[in-house]
Amino acid sequence: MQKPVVGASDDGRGSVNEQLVRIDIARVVDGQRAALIVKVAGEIDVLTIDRFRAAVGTGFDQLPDGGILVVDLTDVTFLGSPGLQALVDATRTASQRREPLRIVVDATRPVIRPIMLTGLDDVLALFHTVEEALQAA
Amino acid sequence: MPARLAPAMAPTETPDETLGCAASPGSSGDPVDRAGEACRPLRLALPADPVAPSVARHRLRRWLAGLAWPAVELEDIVLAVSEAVSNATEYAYLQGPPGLIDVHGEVETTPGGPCRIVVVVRDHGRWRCPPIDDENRRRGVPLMRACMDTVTIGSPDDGGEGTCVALRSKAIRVTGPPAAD
Repeated sequence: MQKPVVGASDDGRGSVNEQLVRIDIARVVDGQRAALIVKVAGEIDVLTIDRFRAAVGTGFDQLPDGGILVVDLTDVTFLGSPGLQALVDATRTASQRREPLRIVVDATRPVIRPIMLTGLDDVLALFHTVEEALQAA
Repeated sequence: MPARLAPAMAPTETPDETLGCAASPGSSGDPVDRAGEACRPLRLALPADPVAPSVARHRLRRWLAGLAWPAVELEDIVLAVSEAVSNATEYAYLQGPPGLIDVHGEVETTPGGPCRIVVVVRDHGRWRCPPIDDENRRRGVPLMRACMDTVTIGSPDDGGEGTCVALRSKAIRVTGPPAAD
């Protein structure tokens, strides 16, 4: 059992952070539209939220004109209120930039449960699969 | 228009370890002895830093799996406790030295009747008032309340410093006759 990490040691906290969530950004071209997929695996909580927000920000920065930003949460094993807030903020940013933000959740309970409990399934653009997210109009 | 998602099926879960509980999950009609003396409560004391919620989740999941708690209810309890611990890490010790967050979990039973989990998350600090427009807080507390049967937030009973959050889960019913000796 790993001991809790105490204090401000970047190495200790950094390595736990690295273990807790992995984030990859990949560019795809699907038909006529380019897309960036921010794939997250692991836990999104207060420890890892900064990396998640930074990855979404990078996604917006690198998104080609007319592209779709997809956040793939199918391998996320925990999503708490910091993550929900980040998804809401990203959706707002997307709306202001008039670029779609599509969130893939594949009905995996760790992610869909907090989204539905807070009514955010009416606010976030949710899709079952990356393919659906890319193909939607 | 994005497809509206249907509620998910609960994932199947195999308890990976029992933590001092007398009975294994067993076959149908064979109740878990959740009230048995061998069921130890959960006792954690975590440094109040951003790692604390993930440690609390991990330990809580193991403890609940050892009690063979149903998967759907288990995840709700983990979510609520994670929110409470997360709030404490963010607000409890902003004025003054860093401290500990206590997480105590117990099974609450009535003979032959429903079982609940009660988890108390307690810090010993003096909370800075969260910013009024902090949406995490506005979303976090309703999330806790949606996951649990009751959430009580207040001062600790012992009159000490800090804040106490008592999370009482929804009841599950113990099925089947009591195990014969």
